[in-house]
Amino acid sequence: MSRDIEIAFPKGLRGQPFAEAVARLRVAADAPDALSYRGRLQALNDLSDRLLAPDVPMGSLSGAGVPFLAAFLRSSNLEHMVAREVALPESLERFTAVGRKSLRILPKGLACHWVAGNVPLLGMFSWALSALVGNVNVIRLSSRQEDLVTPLLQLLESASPEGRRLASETLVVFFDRDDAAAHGVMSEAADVRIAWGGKEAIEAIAALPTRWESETIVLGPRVSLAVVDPAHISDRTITRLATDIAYFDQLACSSPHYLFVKNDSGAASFDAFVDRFAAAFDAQARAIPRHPLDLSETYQIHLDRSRVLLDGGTLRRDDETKWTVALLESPSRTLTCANRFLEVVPFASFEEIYPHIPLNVQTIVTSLGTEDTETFTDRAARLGVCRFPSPGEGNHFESPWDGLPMISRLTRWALRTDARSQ
Amino acid sequence: MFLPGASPFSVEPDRKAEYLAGQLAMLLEHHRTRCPGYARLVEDWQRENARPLSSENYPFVPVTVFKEYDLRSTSDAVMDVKSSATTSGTSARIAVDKATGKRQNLSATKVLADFIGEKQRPYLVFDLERTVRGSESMSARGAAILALAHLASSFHFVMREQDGELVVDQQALTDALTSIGGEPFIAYGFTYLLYQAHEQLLDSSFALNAHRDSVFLHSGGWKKLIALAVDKGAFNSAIARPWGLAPANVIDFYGAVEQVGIPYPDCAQGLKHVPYWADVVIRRSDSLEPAPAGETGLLQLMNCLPLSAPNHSVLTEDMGRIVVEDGCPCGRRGKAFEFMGRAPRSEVRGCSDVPRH
Repeated sequence: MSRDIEIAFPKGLRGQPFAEAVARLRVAADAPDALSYRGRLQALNDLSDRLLAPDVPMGSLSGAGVPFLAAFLRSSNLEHMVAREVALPESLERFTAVGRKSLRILPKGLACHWVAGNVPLLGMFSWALSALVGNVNVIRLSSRQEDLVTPLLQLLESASPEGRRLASETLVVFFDRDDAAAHGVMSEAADVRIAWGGKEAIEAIAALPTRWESETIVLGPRVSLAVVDPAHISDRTITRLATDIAYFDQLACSSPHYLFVKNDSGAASFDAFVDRFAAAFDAQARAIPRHPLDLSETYQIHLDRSRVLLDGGTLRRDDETKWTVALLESPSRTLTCANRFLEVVPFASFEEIYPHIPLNVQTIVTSLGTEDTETFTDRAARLGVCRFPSPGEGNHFESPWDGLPMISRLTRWALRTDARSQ
Repeated sequence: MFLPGASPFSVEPDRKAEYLAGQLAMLLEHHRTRCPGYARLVEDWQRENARPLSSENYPFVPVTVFKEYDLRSTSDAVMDVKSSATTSGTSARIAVDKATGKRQNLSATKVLADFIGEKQRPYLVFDLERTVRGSESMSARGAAILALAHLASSFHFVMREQDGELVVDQQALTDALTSIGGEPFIAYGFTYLLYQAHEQLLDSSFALNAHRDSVFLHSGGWKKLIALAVDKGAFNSAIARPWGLAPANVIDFYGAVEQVGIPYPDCAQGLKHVPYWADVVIRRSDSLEPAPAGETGLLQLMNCLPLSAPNHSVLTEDMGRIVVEDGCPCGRRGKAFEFMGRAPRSEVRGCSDVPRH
C-alpha cells in the first residue's frame, strides 16, 4: 500500500491518499478549460520571470542552479527545443495537416519523476518539458533531501493565473529510498517514468513493476569532457569553460572531467593556455559557491593530487582543496575527478582523443576551428557523444538529452487520415 | 633520536615543538633525497607553502598511496609491513629496515611501558604463532603482537586454526596458565579475535583466573563488533569478567600500519596520548587546514621513527579530535585525542559517473 507516500504540494492535497490525489490531477488536466500549449509556455515563462526578478527572495534556492532553470524556462528556449522534434507546434493543440494526413500530439498522461538525491533541481527540467506538453506530474523527493521543488511551484502559483493552473497539475511527494511499496505504487501509476540519478538509483527504478505500455526515460550517470584549441578560444570563453566545470561542483553528468587541449604550436603555447585557464578556474571556483566537502571528499582530493604527482604529472591548484588542474600526458583511470578536479591533457591529433571517449559519455564541450569541429564532432558523435555545446553551455539542460528526444518520449502521437484525402 | 632521561609523555609542549621541528626537518630532507616520489610530493607542497616547518605546516602523504605505490627511501629494506585486509582489498606495504625496526621496537616498548609498567611478564597471545613469522613481510597483526615483545618474559600463543577459522587452543591455554602460575601476565589479541576467543571460552566453561595486575591489550577495527551491538563497555566486561579482572585492565590501543612503533593506548580518561617523538594534527574537511581542539577532522599522524620509507607524516582516513592540548588528569603531558573511527564514505551525489571503457 501507498500509506507512506507523503504529499508536500499542493497544500490542499496533503494527507490525501496518493491514488485519489493523482485522480484529481488527471481530471483537472482533461477539463474543458485546461491550459493550451501556448498557455503552458506562458506559465513557464512567467516562472522564469519570477526567478529572475531581483525582489523575489530565493532563500534555500540560491546556489541551487536557479539561473540555469530560469534560462531554460524562457518561451524562446522551450520553443526551440520543441521545434527540434515537432515540425508544427500547432499539432500540440489540434490535428494539423502534415502532408496527406493530420497529426495530433498529445500528452502521455501521468509523468512520475524520481529526482537524483543531491540535485533536486534536475527534476524541474524534465517536469517543465513534461508539463509543457500537457502531462500531469508527480515529483518524488527522498525523505532525506531538502525540498527545493515546493518553493518553485509556489512561485509558479503566484506568478500568473496560468502558473496557478499549471502548478495545480503537479504533486510533490516524499517517501523513503527503501520504501519498495511506495516506489511500486508510483511506478505502476505512471504513464511515463523519468529516472534521474546514479547507477544504483536508476537501476532500482528501472526494475520497479510497471505497465507494459508505459514509457521509461532513464537519465542516468554519464561522463563529460571538453576539447579546445587555444588558437580558437578567447579569455571570455575560457572563463565560460571554467564555469562549466565549477558549477554543480563537477557532479553533474554534463560536467567536464577531462580537458583535451590542442598542442600543435609547441609547449609554450600549451603552458600559456594552462596559465590562462588556471587563473580563470581559480576565479570561478572562488566566485561560485561549492557544497562543503565532507572528510572523505577532502581526503580524496589530497589523494588524487598525490597520485598525479607520483604518476609524473604536475599540478596547478590552490593552497586548500578548492580547485585542481592536473596536467597529465594521458587521462588517468584512477582519479575521481569531482569537486573541481580537472585533468588537462595535450593532444596533437584527434586520434589521440577517441580512445579516451568512454562508453557512458554524454557531453563534449567544444571550442575548435570550423573545420576541426566538423571532423571531430562527426567521429565523436559516432562514438556515443550526445552533445557538443560551446563553453558556458555545458550544463544547459536541453532536448535531446542523453541522446533522447524528450518531447517525443513524453507524448503520444495520433495520426488521422483526413476526409479530403480519402 | 630519543631524548636522554625523558619519558614519552613528560616533555613540555614548547620543548616538544622545538624537538619535533628539528627532527621532522631532518626527516623531510632524508626522504626527499632518497625517495624520488616523495621528492615530487614535497616539491609541490613547497610551492604552496612558504611558512616555516612545524607539525601544523608539514607535508603529509595520504595512507592510500602506500597501497598503490612503492615509496621507499632505502634499497636494503629487510621487511615490508603489510596492512590487514581492507575495504579496498589492497594492502599497504611499508618498507622497514633494521635501523627503523629498532627504533619502532624501542618506541613501542617505551609507550606501552608507560601504561603497563616496564617489568617483563609472561605474554599470552590470542593469535597463531605464524602471524609473527616471516622474514620478508609482516602483517599489521604481527607488528601489533611484536609491539609488546620487549615487555614479555615468555610467549604463549593460544589460538589454532580449525577449518579455516581461528579457535582457542585449550591445551595451549592450559599449558600457558600452568606455566604462568599466579603471576601477573600481559595478553594481546586483535579486537575481534579476542572477543571471539572469549565467547568460545565462555561456551566451553573453561576455568580462567588471573593475577589482578594482569592486563589485556587489544587493537584493530570495531566494525564486526558494532554489527553485533557490542560497545566498549560490553567488550571490556566480556574480556575482564571471566578472568576476575576489573574492566579497566582491558586497554584498547589505536595504531596504523603506516605508523608502526607508535601505539596509542587509552589512558584512564579514555584518551590517547602522543609521545614527544610523535604528533597528531586534526585536518579540517573542505580545506585540510589544522582544526582547533574539540573539532572533528581527519587524523594526520607523524613520528620521527621511519628512515626506510616516507611514512613519517601521513594523512589517514580516520577521524578524531584533540580533547586536551596539555594537562590530562591522567598526568601525561601534551596532546590527548579521541579516535572516532573511519570517516564515512561520501554519499554519491549527482548524476556524474566514472568513465566506462
